[in-house]
Amino acid sequence: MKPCKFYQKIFPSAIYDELDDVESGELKAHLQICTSCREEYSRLQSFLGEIPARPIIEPEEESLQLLRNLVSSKIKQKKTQTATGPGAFFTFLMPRPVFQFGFAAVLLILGFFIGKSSRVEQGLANGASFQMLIAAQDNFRTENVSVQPFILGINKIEFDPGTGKIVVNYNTINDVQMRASVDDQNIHSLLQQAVLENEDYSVRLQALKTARAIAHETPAAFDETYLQIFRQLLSSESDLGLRLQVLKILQALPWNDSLKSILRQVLQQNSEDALRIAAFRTITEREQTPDELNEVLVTAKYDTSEFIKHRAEKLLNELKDKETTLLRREE
Amino acid sequence: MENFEIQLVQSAQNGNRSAFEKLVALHDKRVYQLAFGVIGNIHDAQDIYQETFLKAWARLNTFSYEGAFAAWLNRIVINLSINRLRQKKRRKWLDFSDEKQDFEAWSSWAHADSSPDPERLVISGEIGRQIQDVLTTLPAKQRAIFVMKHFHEMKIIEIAATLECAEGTVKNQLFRATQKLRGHFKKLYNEQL
Repeated sequence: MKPCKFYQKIFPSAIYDELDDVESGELKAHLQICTSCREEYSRLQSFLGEIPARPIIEPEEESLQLLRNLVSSKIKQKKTQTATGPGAFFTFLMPRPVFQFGFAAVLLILGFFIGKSSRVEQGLANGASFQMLIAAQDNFRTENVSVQPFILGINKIEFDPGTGKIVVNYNTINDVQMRASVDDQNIHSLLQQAVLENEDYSVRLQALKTARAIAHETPAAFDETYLQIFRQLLSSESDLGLRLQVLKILQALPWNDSLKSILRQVLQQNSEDALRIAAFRTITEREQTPDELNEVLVTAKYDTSEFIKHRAEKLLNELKDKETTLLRREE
Repeated sequence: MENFEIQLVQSAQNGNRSAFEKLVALHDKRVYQLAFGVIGNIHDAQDIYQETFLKAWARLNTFSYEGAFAAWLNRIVINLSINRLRQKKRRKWLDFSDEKQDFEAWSSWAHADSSPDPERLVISGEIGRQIQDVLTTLPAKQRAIFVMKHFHEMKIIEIAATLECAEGTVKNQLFRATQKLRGHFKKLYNEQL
């Protein structure tokens, strides 16, 4: 006779009807003689029965279509790149993975020794030398290392909630890490550079996530310049996910005219349903002036998105009801 | 695998993009649901959706017709989702996506009224919220196994093939996953489950 623990391990498989005949027979025989296992089995059965057996989310056809279009356009882009890029012609010269790996390992070791001998970690974090690093036209020497500012590129930008500092990894000829607080101007110039100009999607994403963290911690850090940057990103950023990140940042900022104007522009002019829906939600949640809300809703009633149309009509009716109640009270 | 699907795969393998788009439309709902089930937030699920089909397109020639195309896609989406979860766990201290907040926002939106939503969380009310919360406490592989078994009713043999592991391993992990889920619900309700 096997121990109870053995049988208990196969309870879920039994409940999902996944045991073979032998296992099933053995389990039945055990349950007939063991009261505690029988009770445990029945409890597990009713617990699993409580959890509905269907996928947690039911995506709308509309949002799936949006994702299909994204995949399709990315495949198109890739095809164009491979057809026209130099790689297509030289593909047959590509070494086997084992050689690629070996070559990468050699480069890594080489890089490690070069990096070790020339790494700058300290001394660049203070404002003055950092400005020199950004602004200098020629190489300059700091801590005996020659830095070439013209190949400055940002590799990573992130918020460290433990220290409340922003950490930026960038490279000149060396790798440099800078840590500074949210009110440091250098951080903001790097952040703006990363969201607007970096070619690497993941760096732009990290930068926007950092901005989102700052928006939650210190929303006042985002002045009019930033709002203009966000406005620009909403129209020029190619990735829909990143544009949605921008809207999430905007959701956390203080409600003012510039913010309203950006969100209204998205709602009225943007062709992406997901962005218009996000803008619509923010406006309807945060706009406190009934007249302005009314104005937005009247236009939104004719939106191409069924969701926006439906919600706009519903909210308009609610506004009317409120007005009627107020009028009655006044009378 | 149906003839129609085989033809689509063959055509896509020859570089026909519109054939591949048809395959995407055939399978994408399940891919999205699997990714969301394992990952637990919409933003990452949409990323995984895109990565899955881009990877499938890039590696279409490695599909050998030995199993179903759906199973081949499952393997990609589950592996990508597990990897994403593990990466997130490693970089938890610098992740600000705030899954719970995302879920709550979408959940309240989905259940606010009966309007046509962009996404609908079909397991309604408190139980749906709690399941999602509790699932996030499971290790990546256990979470994937439970989602595939319970919500997608996949056979253990299919799950084992998807994860490229033994059936016994799947059964063990499924046992552990159900134990942990029950443990969490017990704590929540302070009663015997």
